[in-house]
Amino acid sequence: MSSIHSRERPEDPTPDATYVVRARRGDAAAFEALVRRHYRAAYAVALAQLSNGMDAEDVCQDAFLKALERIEDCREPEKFASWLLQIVRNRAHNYRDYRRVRAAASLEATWAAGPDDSAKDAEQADLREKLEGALAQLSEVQRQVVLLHDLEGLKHREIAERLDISEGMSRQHVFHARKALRRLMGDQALKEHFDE
Amino acid sequence: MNDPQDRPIDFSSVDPTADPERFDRLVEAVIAQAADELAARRMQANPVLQIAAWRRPMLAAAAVVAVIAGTVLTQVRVPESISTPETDGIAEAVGIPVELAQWLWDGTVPSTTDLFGVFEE
Repeated sequence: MSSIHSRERPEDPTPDATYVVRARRGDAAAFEALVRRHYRAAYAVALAQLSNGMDAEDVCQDAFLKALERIEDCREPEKFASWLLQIVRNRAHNYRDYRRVRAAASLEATWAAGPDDSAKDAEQADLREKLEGALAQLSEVQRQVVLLHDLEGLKHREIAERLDISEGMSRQHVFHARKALRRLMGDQALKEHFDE
Repeated sequence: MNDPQDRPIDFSSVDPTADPERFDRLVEAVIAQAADELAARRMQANPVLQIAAWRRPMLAAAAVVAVIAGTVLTQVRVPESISTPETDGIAEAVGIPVELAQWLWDGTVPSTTDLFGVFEE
């Protein structure tokens, strides 16, 4: 199976536990390494719950800060990822309740700062909107599983461990989610993009 | 493997890492927000920094204690002799001769004759 995410995977053999111990002592580089390593998985979980990329980014930021504040509570630093995703789920749940009072400052500037006027960017934005709309039609667990698998590149075993479901269930969710997304988006849109 | 469901969905349009520069900004935003927490943790982890942080309040507290102690010392007069009718009464009550108690309070060393005199009484 081809992987669309392998290109962004920097090889860093340092285990999470090492970074967690260093982050506890206030090592900014270690904390940054954890953020970079787990941002996409956190984003996948947040997006699955909120169906909006910008909201998901706000939740990620909030969740990483909360994780740092409570990092002593991470009793098994080698399982930092699972622990972090639990925080993301909780923060996203809270965020959904208070979505309307979101501060305007946050990350709007980050989106605005990027070049967004070219035809390709407009196309990407359109595709993103459609994809978010299609994702919103899936069940929450389907969204989480398909995003963790196809966006973050986790294996079914890893997804099962992090979401506390069976591997078989993870496979089933991916299968049904892909099928539904292709039906909702039109296979052509996804295929054309995939073939680029 | 020809089943379309075997192929992953391309989520690159929602991938926060797809644009490296934008992703860097996202990470920097998180690190900037975490700066205070990280600084506090560095301080907690370093005893020298911790002592340095306590230096000012410790100096202020020491100054306050010095002022209070100075005031008290200037106002309190130490009695020339602790022996009073009350202390003599206590010495008698516990069975110590008044003269012996007086020597103890004054810190004077009695002569052997004086000692015999007291115990003979």
